[in-house]
Amino acid sequence: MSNDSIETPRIRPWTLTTERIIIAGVLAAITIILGIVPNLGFIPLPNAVGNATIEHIPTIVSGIVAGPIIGIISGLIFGVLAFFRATDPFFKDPTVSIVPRLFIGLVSWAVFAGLVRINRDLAAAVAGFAGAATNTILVVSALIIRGYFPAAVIIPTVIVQAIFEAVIAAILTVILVRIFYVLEERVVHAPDKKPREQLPY
Amino acid sequence: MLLTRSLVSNSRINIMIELQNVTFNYSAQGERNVAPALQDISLRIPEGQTVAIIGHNGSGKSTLTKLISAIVFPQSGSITIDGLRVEAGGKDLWSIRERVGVVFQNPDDQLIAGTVIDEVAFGPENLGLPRSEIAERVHEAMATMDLLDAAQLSLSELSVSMKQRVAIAGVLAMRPRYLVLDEPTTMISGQTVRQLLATLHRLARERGMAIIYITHFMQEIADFERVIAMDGGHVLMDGSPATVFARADELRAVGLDVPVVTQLGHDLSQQGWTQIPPIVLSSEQLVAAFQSDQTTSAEPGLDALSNLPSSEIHSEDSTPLFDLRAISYIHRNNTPFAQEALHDFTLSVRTGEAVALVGATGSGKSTLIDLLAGLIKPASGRFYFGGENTGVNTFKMTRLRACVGVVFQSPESQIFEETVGKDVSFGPRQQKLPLHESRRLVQSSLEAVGLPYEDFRSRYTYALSGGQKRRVAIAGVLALEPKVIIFDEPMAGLDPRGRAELFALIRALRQREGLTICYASSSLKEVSELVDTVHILDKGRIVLSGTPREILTHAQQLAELDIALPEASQLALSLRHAIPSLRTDVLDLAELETALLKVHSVTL
Amino acid sequence: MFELSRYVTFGQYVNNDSILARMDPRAKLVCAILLIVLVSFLNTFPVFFLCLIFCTILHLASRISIGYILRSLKPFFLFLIIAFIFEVLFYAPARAPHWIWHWWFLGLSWAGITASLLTMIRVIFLYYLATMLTFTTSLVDLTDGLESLVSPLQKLGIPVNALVMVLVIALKFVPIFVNEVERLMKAQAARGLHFDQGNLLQRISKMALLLIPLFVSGFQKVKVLNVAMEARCYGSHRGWHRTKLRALHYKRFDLFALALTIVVCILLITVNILTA
Repeated sequence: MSNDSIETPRIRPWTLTTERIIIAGVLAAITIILGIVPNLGFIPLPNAVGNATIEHIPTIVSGIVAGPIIGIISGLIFGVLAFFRATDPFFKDPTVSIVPRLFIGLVSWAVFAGLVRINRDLAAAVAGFAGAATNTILVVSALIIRGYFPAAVIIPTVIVQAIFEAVIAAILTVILVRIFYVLEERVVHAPDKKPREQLPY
Repeated sequence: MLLTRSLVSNSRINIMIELQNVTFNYSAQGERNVAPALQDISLRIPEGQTVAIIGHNGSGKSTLTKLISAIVFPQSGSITIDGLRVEAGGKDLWSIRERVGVVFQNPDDQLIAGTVIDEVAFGPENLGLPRSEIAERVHEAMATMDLLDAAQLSLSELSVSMKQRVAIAGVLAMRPRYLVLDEPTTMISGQTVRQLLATLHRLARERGMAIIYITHFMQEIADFERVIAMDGGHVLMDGSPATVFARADELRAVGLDVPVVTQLGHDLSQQGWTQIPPIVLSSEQLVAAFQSDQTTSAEPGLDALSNLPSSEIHSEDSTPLFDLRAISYIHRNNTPFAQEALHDFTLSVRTGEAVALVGATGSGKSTLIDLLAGLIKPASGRFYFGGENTGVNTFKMTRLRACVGVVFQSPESQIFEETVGKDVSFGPRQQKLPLHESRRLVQSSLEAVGLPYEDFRSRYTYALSGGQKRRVAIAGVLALEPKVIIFDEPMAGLDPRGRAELFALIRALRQREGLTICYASSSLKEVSELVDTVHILDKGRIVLSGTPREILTHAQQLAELDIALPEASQLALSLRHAIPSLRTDVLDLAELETALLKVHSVTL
Repeated sequence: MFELSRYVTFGQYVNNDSILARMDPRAKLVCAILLIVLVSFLNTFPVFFLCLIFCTILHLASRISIGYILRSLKPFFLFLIIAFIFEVLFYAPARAPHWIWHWWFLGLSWAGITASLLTMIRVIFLYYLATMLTFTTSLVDLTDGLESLVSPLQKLGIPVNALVMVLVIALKFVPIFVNEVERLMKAQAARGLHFDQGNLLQRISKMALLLIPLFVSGFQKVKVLNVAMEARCYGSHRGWHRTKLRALHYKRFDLFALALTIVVCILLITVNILTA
C-alpha cells in the first residue's frame, strides 16, 4: 500500500506480500536490462579474463529489501537467464549457471538482517560483498566439481576479478539500499557531505 | 435467519458510495509537513451517476479515489460502498475492490501483463472466476473498448491512448458498479479524449455504472450530471455543471476556471446577445443560439488575413543557426523494424528565433530533436550548424551539444543525480569549470526557474513534484549556458497551474538576448504566444509553416492531423457550423469575441 | 547511436508453426528438461553419436534453417575452442596419464584430449537443446507451461504463483526500462558527457549514473504498481487463489513426444553404461 507500509510494523522476513513480488519483478527486469544493454552490465577490467560483472547486484538488493524468499526467486531468475543467454559453454550447464545463484539473495539477506542493528550502511556493504563473493565462490566451485577446470588454474585466474566485483557490489549496495530507505521514509533534504566551498553547487 | 434478511434489505437500500465525516492524513513521517489530505468530508454517490471531481494537485481529490477504492483507509469517519465498510483488514475489502474499478493517470503504471487479452483477463483471474466466465467478461470488455482486433498485440507496442483503452477494459472486465478515473486525460489529447468521454457516458447510460471522473480540464466535464470542486481537503462546491460554473469568481479564487465556451457565452450575453443562455456548457448550445438568431450572416463575410498585421518578413542576410537540407533518417536501420522517420526534410532556424515543431506522434518530431541536439546523425542530406557542415569529419558533435540544451519529454529521465544541486551542476562539472563558477551557475539557473537556491540545492531529486522536476531539468540545461534550448513536450502530464507557471518561464526565457528556442509539441495550445514561427510536421516532412496566426487559418487541416488547437480556435472551428464565415485564426478569447462581433455586425 | 531497442532481441521464438512450435509447452518443457539433465551426465563417444541422430530428427521436426542456428552459435564456438585448449593443457586426473608432452602443470595427453573432447561435445548438445527450446517456444507459452507444471508445488508451500507473477512483471518492465536507459543516455550526452572516454574509475561512475536512476525509477514504480494491482484484487494472503483464462491441452502428439523422449533417455543411459 502506498502509505501505510511505514506505519505497520515490519513484515516478517519469510512472508510474501504483493509489494515484495513487485520488487522482485522490477529487479528481475533490471537484471535483464543489465544483460541486454551493451556495456551496462559489466566493467571492462585490464586483465586476462576480461570483465567484472555487476549483474548479480539486483539479486543482492532484492534479498536485502524483500527478504529471503524473494532473494531465492531473484536468484533463480538470474540463473535461468544466465543459462539461456550464455555464450560461455560452461554456463550451459545448469549446475554452474543456476544452482549457485539461488544462494546470492539468501546470503545477502542473512548478512544484512544480522548486521542492520549495528549500522545500516555497514550491513549493506557487508551484505553486498558477501552476496558477490557467494556468487563467485559457488560458481567457481561448481566449475571445479563438474571437472571443467582444475582448482589450481581457475582460482588464481579469477581472484583479482572476484575481489574487484565484491568491492563494487559493496559500494553499489550501500548506495542503492540508502536510496531505497530515503524513498521509503520520504526524506526531502540531503545532508551536505563537504563544506560548501568544496562543492560544485 | 432474521439477521441475514435484515442485512440483505439493508444493503439494498444503500446501493451507493457513502462518506460520513471522513478525515484522512498521510503519514507524518519525513520532513513533509502537510495538512490533512481530506478533512471531514461527507458525500453520497448513487449508482449510475456521472460525477466529475475538479481541484488542484493537493486538493485531496486523488486521496478521495484511493479511499473509495479501499486502497487507503480513513482515520476517522466512515466510508461504505453498497453498505460494505471500508476499513483496514476488513473482510469486505476484496468485495469492495471488485465493485469499485480504478483507472489511473498513466497507463504504464497499471498495465501488468504482456498482451492485451492477458491484461484484460488479469482482474477476473484474480477474482478466481471459472474460465468460461472470464472468457465472457474479457470478450465483453474488449468489445466495449473496441479492442477485439488488438487482443493478441503486445502492450509495449501500443500507443498511449491505446494503452489507456486497455487499462479501462481491464477494469470493466471486473464488472464494477463504480468506475473511478484519476486524471485519465493528462497523457492523451484531442480526438482521443472526446472518444473516451463518449464511452464513459455510454457506460453510465447503458449499464447504470457510476462514473467518478477526476480531472484538471474544465472543458471535459460539461456533460456530467454532477460536479464536485475540491480545495484543501474540503468540498468547495457540489452541484450540476451549470450551478458550479455560475460561480466563476469563486472557482478562480482557488485557481480553477470555467470552460472557455462558458466564458465566451458569459461575455457575449453581457454584451447584449440576449439569445445566449447565461450558462453555456457546450459549443453546440452556442451554435443553436446562433442558428436561432437570424441576424447572423450566413455568407462568408471576411477575407481571412487582410486586415491583420501580416507576419514580419525577416531579413535573410545572417547565416541561419540550424540549416537542414534534404535530411533523411531511418530508425533501427538494417533491422526488420526499419522505419523512415525523416524524409527529404528541410528546415532553417535563425539565431534568436523561437520556433515550434508541431506534429502528432510518429510525425518525426522526436527524431528531429535528437538530430538538432547532435545525438544522431542524418542518414543522408546536409546539416549545417552556424554555417558549418556537421557531416565533415573535423566537426565535433560535442561542440554542437555544448551549444544546444534539450529539455526532454519526461523529466524523470532527465534528472539522474541524487540531489538537485548535483544534478544542476552536472553540465558545469563535465566542462570542468572552477567550483565557485559552478556554484554561481547553479544558483542563477535555479533562481531563473523560480526555485529558491538555498532550499533546493540539497533536496533529493526523488522527492520533487512533477512541476518541480521539470524546472530542475530546465535549470540543468540553463547551467550549460546554451545558445539554443529545445523543449520536447514540456507541458505533458502537468496540471493547469504547472502549465501556467512553465508557460511564464518559457516566455521569460524567450526575452533573453540571442537565445534560440525550439518548442516541440503535439498540440498548438500553448504555442501561439510562445513562438514566432510554427512548423507542422507530418510523416517526416514539414507540411505547413508560418506564424501562429497563419497556421491557425488552416484549422480544419490541423484537426485532420489530430493536432489539438488552442481552445479559442477550437471553439471558432465548432461555431463554423452556424457561422461559416467565422475565422479560426484567433489567438485568444478576446479575439474570438471580436471576430464574432464583426460577423454579427455585418448584418446589423 | 542511442538506439538501444535494436539490441533487444529478447526471446528468439521463431513462429513457423512446426510440430515442435505447436507442442503443448508443458510436454515440451518436460522433454527438454529430461534431455538437458540427462545429456549433462553422458560421457562416451557412441552415446553422443546416438544423440546426434536424435538431434538431427529433432531439427528436421523444428523446420528451422540450420544456418540460423549456426549463426547464433558463432560467438559460442570461439569460446569453445579456447576452453578446449585450456582443458587439454590443464588436464590433471588423479593418476598421471601417459604424457605426450609435459611441463610443470601443463601437459598434453591423449587421455586429456579425449576427456576434453567429450566435455565440449556435451556442452554443444546442451547448448543446442536449450536453444531449440527458446526457438520453438514463445515467452508467454514458456511461462504458462512452467506455471502449470510446477503448480502442484504450490500445495507444498512453495510460492510458485508468486514466481510466475515475478516473471510477468519483469517482462512488463523490460521495454519500459530500455526506453528509460535510452532517454538517460541521451540526456547525459546532451549535457556534455562522453561515454567512451576515461579511466576505470570514471567508467564506473558513468555506469553508476545510468544504473542508479534505473533502480530509483524501479523502486518508485513498485509503490505505484502495488496500488494498481491491489485495486484489481490481486492478493497474496492465505487462502487467496486466482484462475487462468489461458487453457493448455495435451494433444496426441504431445503424449507421443513424451513417450519418445523417455524411450530415448532409457536408450541413452543404457548405451552410456555399456560403452563406459
